[in-house]
Amino acid sequence: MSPLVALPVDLLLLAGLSGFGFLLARAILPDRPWVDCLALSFPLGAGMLTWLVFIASLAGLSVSLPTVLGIWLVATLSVGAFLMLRKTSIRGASITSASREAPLTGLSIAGLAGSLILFGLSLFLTVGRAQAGWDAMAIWSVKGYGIALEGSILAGRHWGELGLSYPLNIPLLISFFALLDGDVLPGSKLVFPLFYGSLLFGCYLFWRGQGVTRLVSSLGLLILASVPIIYDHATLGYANLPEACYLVLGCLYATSGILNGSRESQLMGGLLLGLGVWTRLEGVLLVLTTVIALAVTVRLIGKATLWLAGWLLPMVVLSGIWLAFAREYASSSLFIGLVGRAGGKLLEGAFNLSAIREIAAYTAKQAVDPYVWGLMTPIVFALVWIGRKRLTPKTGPVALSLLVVGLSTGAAVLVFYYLASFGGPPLDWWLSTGLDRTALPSVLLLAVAAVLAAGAAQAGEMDA
Amino acid sequence: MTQSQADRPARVIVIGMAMAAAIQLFFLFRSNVIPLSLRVWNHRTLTAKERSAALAFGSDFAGFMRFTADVVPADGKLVLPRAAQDSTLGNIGLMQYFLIPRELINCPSSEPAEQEACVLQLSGADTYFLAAGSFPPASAAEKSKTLIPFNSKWGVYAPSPR
Repeated sequence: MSPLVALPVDLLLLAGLSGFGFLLARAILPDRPWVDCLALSFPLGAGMLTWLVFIASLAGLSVSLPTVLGIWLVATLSVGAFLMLRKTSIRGASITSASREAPLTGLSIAGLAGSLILFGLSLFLTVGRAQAGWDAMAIWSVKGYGIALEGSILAGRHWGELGLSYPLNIPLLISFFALLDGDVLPGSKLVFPLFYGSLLFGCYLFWRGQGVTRLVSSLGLLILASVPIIYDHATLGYANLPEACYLVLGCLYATSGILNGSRESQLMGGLLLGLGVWTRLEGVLLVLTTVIALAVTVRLIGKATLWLAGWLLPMVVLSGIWLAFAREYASSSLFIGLVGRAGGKLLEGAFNLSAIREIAAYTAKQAVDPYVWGLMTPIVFALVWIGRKRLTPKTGPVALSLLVVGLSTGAAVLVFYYLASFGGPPLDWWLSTGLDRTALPSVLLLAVAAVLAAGAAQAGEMDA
Repeated sequence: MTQSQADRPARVIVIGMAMAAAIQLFFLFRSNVIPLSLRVWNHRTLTAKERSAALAFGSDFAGFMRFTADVVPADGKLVLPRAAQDSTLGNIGLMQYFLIPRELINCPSSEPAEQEACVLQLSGADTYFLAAGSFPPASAAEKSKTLIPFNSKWGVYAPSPR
């Protein structure tokens, strides 16, 4: 099939995934405006469909075009029928009080248009770039192609590096394109800008929903969209940005749901966090840290209405089945190996303090490198300082919780690298190949919290 | 206070964020968007896998992958050097991306004597050797294969016609 013929076929597949996700989001969040569901539609539809195909494959079905189409059809019709029976009405787009809406100013338009242009450019760049990145070729794509070739998730054991140590969300997603048209475009690369767009649009809607003005939200959107490492990952083909999309959006829904007493949002938060684990292995560490940090913070804040079953169950089910499968088939767990090795050395009294210095120096160097994180570090510090009065349990429980989760997950990432220093490849290799991308969810959460604190502070002070 | 005033955040935040966004855009376009767009444009006539190869490892490498895929049939078996001998061409996971559905294997050791024995053992009619550097040992490979060179560095040992 020629790439030009494959393009509409690929777009149809992406529309099908997004359509399923949109309906699912509507079913879970009946009171939310449709734009919120639109932002969730692709990541939710893609993640849930790959997980269902994974379960079907475990049950003995082959990963083939009829199987994937059949599962998509049954899932979409089931959710559609549920919505019909419930007679969900579509709510409008406005999520802030209409009386507070100001007309779009030139700067707001520039922020929104700039972000949209970056998104549009990323669609061309991602396809043009194909899979020109080591992990994109040697792990994610080739596993997808192998699964499509053999019709089994077990093909991941011998196609590509690292066997079945990594979750199969992205490989299965890529396998759908391979099954459909051989991925000649490659259409599978379009999923990465869609995760990028969904993540940023979700953050924008979150700010708006929390009362941040349109002007500050649109500038915050453009700042996130133009961070060099985030944009690079929108076209690179690695699973870190999809994982960040799930973890950040999941955290936003979980936090606001717990603090506002919305069971639906907590359920959505749990689903998205579970899909984060289903996307990358370190999702386990980050989700575990998120759950602990969020549970402790909201308990200290004291206004929380935690629906544990609704929040945790989707996480446990989505990640638990994968982890049970991985335990059976993965050759070894890198993380458990690291912890075991480091634990032994620490018990012997070898604290490897030079590694702490090396990690701190590398982190500081990267944090201020404008070609990596742009101006995120000064922006986050400045906005947190400006909005510090809105970072207390009484004045800004949501922003405070997100800040705590961002810091906790960031600390967990650094601890992971410290553990990695006790053996295996040299620490500078670990740091240079993975620290920045592993920290994506944490930095994004810090930025969301900072914009929320500063934006809400301004709106609040102006109202007074 | 009017409605529009209430919706207007403090100028310092807005100006600061706008300036930060503009500076970030400069860095982004300079380091990523412009150079990547140019590289992509220069390779626009290639297939997806050739673009991946060319952008990641250069045009020679892309040509060699196309050449290897032409020489080795889809149901053929290709023996690669060890990763210790060539970290790119010897990486099975990576090479599978370019050469799927062909079966790719390594010899179990890069010790010359063991590698020679391995090459002699893999003399089947559907088995090919990817030639790079000192792999495969020519004396052993040429007993059952013929070298088809791609350039002075790389080639493929294919089964000799009978």
